[in-house]
Parts: sequence; structure tokens; C-alpha cells
Amino acid sequence: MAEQLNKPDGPLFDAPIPGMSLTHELGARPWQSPARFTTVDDTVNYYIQKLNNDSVAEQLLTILEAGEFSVADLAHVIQLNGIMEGLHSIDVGILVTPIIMEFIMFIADAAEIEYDAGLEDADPALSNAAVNRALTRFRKEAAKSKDTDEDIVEEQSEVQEEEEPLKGLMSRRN
Amino acid sequence: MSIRNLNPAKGVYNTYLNAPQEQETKSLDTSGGLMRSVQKSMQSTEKNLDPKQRAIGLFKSLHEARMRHKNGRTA
Repeated sequence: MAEQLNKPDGPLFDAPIPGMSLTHELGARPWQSPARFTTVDDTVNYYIQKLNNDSVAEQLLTILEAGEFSVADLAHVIQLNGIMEGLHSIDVGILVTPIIMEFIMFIADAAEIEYDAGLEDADPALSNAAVNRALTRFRKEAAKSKDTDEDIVEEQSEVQEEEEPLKGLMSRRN
Repeated sequence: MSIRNLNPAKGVYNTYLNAPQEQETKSLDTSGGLMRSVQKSMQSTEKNLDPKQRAIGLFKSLHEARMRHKNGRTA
């Protein structure tokens, strides 16, 4: 359902063309060269220094307070950006993500801000709505095909009565 | 598919939260500032642990400090 909602009506012309990622020399992009931080410690140190900055913390709190993004989404975006800038590898980024999340939650708790941690399952109200819609559609279709089904069942029962029942798997047919 | 489904953060967070602790983590003393406490904690823990254990150790100490701070506030 979500895929259908996100799908644009017309064809998408601004998509990347094949081979577009190969238009630069190998190593020209930051993520293609060796990472700046290779250990978890160095990476955590970098992020904590960065997030502890007053202006950055203020921006984070504003985003969290708006309720548009969860802490998990924010941490994920922050570490993805680090990978893109060639700060660390994907592996280190994933290892460090929960620590970034904890740090952001610590800042938010200290500022007494209510936030969405992003650790809960998808919104149950949305899934309930989808189930209800599917049920309604199913009932409508069932009501529509009720008459035709009855006719088919009658025909089938007539056919079954005519057929001779087999007694077993290896039984002989007459 | 929403971005939340593509985000590994939730899974990794829960893994860290439920991970057994291989070595005792020193609790963070956040009186001198959170950043300084975390940096101190990083220096104090053993360097020869594998990266995942290092990350879990740091995470646990931060989580514990946050919970302590949260409970202290509400109590």
C-alpha cells in the first residue's frame, strides 16, 4: 500500500542514468578512499564532540520537538552522512548508531523534551486502517459474488452426484 | 516501504540492549559533563576488546547513565 502511495503518476525522468555512478575516477569520492576513523572509539569520540556542540544540540532538539523524525532516523542519517563524507566505514557506522541514539536521547532527556525513539513497531492505527479497508472490500466482493457462487455450488453438487466415488488410492476404476 | 523499515538502527539498538555483558562496565560519572565522562570511559575500558564489544560496553554505560538521570529526575 505504501509503495502505491509513493509511486508517482507519470514516468520518472530525473532518475539516475545507467553508469552515472562511474562518471568519476575511482577514489575521487570520499567514501572510496580510506576512512578517517577506523575504530569505534575514534568514531564515537568524533560524534560526541560534534553532537555536544550547543548549536548542533539545539538543532537536534528542534527537530525532535517537531515530532517529524524519530531518534533512530536521526542517528541513522547522521551516521550515513559520516559514511558519505568518508569519516568511517559502513560497519563502524552501524556499530556506532545505538551510541549516537543514546547520546541524542540523553540530550533530549536533559532538555526535558518528549521525543519518538523510533524503537516501537510501525503505527498500529495505520495497519488497522489497512485491515479494515481490506475487510470492507472483501465483504463488498463477497456480497457481489454471493448469487453467482450459489449457482456454481448447485452445478457442482449435481456433477458430484453423477460421479461414482472411488474407494481408495489403488482401487480399480470400473 | 517506509524509511523506518530500511533503518537498521532499531535492530542494532535492541541487540545492544539485550546483549550479555562480557566485562563489567564502569558506570559513567556525568557530574563533570557528559562528553568528558564518555571520553573518560573510553580511555578506561580495555583496548583489546573486539569492536562490537567495545561498542556494546560504551552503549551500556551511556544507557545506564541516561536511565539513572531519567529516574533521578522523576523520583
